[in-house]
Amino acid sequence: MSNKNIFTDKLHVINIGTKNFGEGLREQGVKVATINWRPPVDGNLLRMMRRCDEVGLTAKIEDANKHVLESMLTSDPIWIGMRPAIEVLPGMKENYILHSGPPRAFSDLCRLHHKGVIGGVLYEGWAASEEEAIHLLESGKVELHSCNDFATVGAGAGIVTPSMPVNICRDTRTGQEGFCLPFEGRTGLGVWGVYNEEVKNNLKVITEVFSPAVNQVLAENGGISIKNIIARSFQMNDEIHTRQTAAGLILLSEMAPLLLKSNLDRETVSVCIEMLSGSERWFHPLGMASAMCTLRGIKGTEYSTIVTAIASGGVETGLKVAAMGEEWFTAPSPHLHGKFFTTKWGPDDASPYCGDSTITEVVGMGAFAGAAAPAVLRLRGGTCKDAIAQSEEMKAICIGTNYNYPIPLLEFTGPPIGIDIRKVIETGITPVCHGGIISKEGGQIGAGIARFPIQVYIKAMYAFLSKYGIK
Amino acid sequence: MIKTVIKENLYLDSIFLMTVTREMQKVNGVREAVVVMGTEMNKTVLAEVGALTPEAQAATANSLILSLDVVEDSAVPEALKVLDNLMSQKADRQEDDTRERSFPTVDLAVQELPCANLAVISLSGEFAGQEAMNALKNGMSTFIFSDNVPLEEELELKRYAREHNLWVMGPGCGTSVINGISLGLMSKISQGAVGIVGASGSGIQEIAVLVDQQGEGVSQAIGTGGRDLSKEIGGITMLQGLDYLDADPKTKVIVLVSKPPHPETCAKIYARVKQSKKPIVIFFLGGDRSQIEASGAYSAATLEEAANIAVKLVRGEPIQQEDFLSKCIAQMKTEAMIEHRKLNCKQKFLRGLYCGGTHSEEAVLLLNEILPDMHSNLSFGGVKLLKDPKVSEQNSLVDMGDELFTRGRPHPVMDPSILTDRLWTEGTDPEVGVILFDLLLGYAVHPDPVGTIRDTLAALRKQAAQDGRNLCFVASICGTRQDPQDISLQKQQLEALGVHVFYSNSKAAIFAGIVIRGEE
Repeated sequence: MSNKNIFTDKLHVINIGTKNFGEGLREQGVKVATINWRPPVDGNLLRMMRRCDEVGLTAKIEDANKHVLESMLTSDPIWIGMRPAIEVLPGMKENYILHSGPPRAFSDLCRLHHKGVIGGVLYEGWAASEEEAIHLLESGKVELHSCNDFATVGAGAGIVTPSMPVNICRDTRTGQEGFCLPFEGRTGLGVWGVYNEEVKNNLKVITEVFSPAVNQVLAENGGISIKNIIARSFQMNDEIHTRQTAAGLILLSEMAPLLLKSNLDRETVSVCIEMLSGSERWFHPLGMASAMCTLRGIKGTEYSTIVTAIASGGVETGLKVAAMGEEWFTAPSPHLHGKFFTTKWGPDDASPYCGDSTITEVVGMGAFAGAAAPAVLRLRGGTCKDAIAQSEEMKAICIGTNYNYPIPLLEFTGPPIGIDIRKVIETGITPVCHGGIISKEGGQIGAGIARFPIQVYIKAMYAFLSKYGIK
Repeated sequence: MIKTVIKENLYLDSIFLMTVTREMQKVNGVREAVVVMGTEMNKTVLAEVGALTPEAQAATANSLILSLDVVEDSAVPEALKVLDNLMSQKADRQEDDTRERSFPTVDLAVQELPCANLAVISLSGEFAGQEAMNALKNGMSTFIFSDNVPLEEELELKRYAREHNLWVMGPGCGTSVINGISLGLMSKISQGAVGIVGASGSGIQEIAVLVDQQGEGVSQAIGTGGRDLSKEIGGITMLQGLDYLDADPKTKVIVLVSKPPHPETCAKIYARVKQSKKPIVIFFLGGDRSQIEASGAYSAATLEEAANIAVKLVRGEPIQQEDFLSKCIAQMKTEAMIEHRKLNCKQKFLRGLYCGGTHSEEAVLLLNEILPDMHSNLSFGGVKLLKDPKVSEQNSLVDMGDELFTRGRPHPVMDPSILTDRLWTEGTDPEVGVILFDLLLGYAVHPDPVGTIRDTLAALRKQAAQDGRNLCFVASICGTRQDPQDISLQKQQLEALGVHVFYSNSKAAIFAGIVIRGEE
């Protein structure tokens, strides 16, 4: 860094603290940038972090993070198929039901999960009534596990039972796979935790008609490149979390010809196209599964301080960090702020953040790519400038920008990618994430944004330092 | 009752419609509003709230459904106006290109603004040092207003800056001027040939202001912070400043201002002063003037005299060494005696309330030579220490910038309204004859300092008249015509209240002193 001369060059000031000093300089025609400074979150932790320099840990962290960033940027996720969970999820067993967020006992589940896992037991036909289902769950004969521990993204409630089909994305570079339930529609069991006859019939079509057909077509054609679709949709107002209007249409335009030229019967093709065109949100699970396969490529990277999961279960939110493998760090789930679909619903109806869709933010999409999707910012009355500011703010806690996804409003630079827990603690800035607002009773009632709690980052940082010998 | 309005072939995106829904909800007489495009999915939403009327059911995906639950029919057109207004609305906010950018961290700001060369820091002392070091490591100089930065941090910062050809003005630095740009709580000063290095904020300001008022100007005024001349810091910034100004072609005369440095540091300063190619004027408040003269520098008795000597040196005029105090007394005696005679026999004491730190120290030293039993909350120059800074005794001068008064409030330089209660207490004391105070102008300072105490001064004058006393107000104001507050306007306001106004802090103190003392 070259040292700048205040006597020979024009003054250009950064003001940290009292606004008056900045104003006084502006009155004199000086350019002043303001730092939105906030006090450090944990002085003791910061002192411990500074010791990383002394013991040579910083260089190892920087190296590991550089490698991780490279891996995230060069990852090449392909949507390769749809198969029942039991066949493809690593470690999945016949009596398991998965849910979003960190692991939780049946007795401690939020209402949405509680209803969802009971629905899951009924859907699998393990019980004939709710009472029987509850009994099975309480007895432990049906085990509950966290989606994220099974390479799966639990969007919304994230209810995954063994026979449900999941989307499979594979990173061709690492061979790692990531999984996510298909989007059932405005109502459904997997995402919205709702189980009734309509949901049951819809799931039957997805399981018996849609997913075998799609699986066949993808296998015949070598799959569909996800990165390619996201790159294009980022220039069409999508951010791939709350909004995937463009990505959904591009997906349909890629799938339709493949379906039509396959040997599938006309009725099956028709069902598939109806499904895909019925909701542009069909792309949402693919964005998430692709994020998962990318992140599995960096999980367990020694010395890396990069976040590999933000996942919330309506009660608790959990964090995973590359060097810490599958260890969870948890704190209470944040609330979403945003707009409700109708005035019938309000904040009291909303569950605290529930769902693992924040994996999109972990790979620099969603709220981090807010600048790509000003329309999403309008949910909170935001402007284009606010959208840009949101992406700029997240740069403060990320290690790089994603050149794969240039965003017009960011002068065609990419969104920030790679959340570094050190930066979160140093700046006190925690990730913002977009998300659907889910009713406590199940079903989506709005969309908004949440800021995730600093406590999980503090816990993770202490654990990281302890692992590498800094006490 | 549910009213359904269909707007055919009108497409609006769902996010915009959420805004419409919210705004319609605010219309009088509207209980519920659902505004959606007529897709099948949206119809299920309407059905859930019991609003799927036959009209809504018949709407196509290309039509907008406005479903309103209203108290009476007249609410419907009002609600529809909301839609029209929102649709015809221009951009949400006016583009504001003058809006300056803000960043969450210094590192990010520097990445985006590589030309940034100075960090102005006014965080609390425990955090200021860390951010200052961060700025230095990014190649920037720093102006640190913050007090209470640990001494060892200050030393580390200043050593780093010296090694890297950067500047650390402060910590505890109130004023500086870089190429005519005023930093901190500083007046606007014309550019000129006088270079100033000072450990005292109001000291730098008063010298610069008085140089400006005499038609000269300042090349650079470098604040060092109050502890720069301590033994531990060893005058790092002042020595850096001396080196810079000695070599600077724009600077003809150098002025140093501070409280007396630690003897070890003092020796370093004098050694450097002796080597200077340029004339140097030194005002070390209450220090040994013979030592200054021995170093080859001009010694000044007051801030005003330092400014006067500097101006003469710039102009090449002869310097007469004379006794500043007796000269001033001789000049002001006649007018002061007129005021003295207006006081009644009980009015024996002077009370001073000060905003500027160096102003209060200079004033208390001068008054201690004129008046007996001078008290203060400053343990300085042999003045008697007030038992309780909140209670005046006999002749008293209180530095209102004392932490005791400023806890949780802005410093009196920024907002003199902190003086009002104390002004009232002193002004209603029947033994008080003279109230002395100072006001400072400049950037980042209150836009109307006189305005903050005007009512109190007027009420005191009225109260004194009712009590059959005359109260003498004396003030110094420190500022220039170019200041945001314009010193001449502030002076007019004070004079309209019958205040004796001086532009020199020392003159105000001496005048106030002889009004109380009377004839020698």
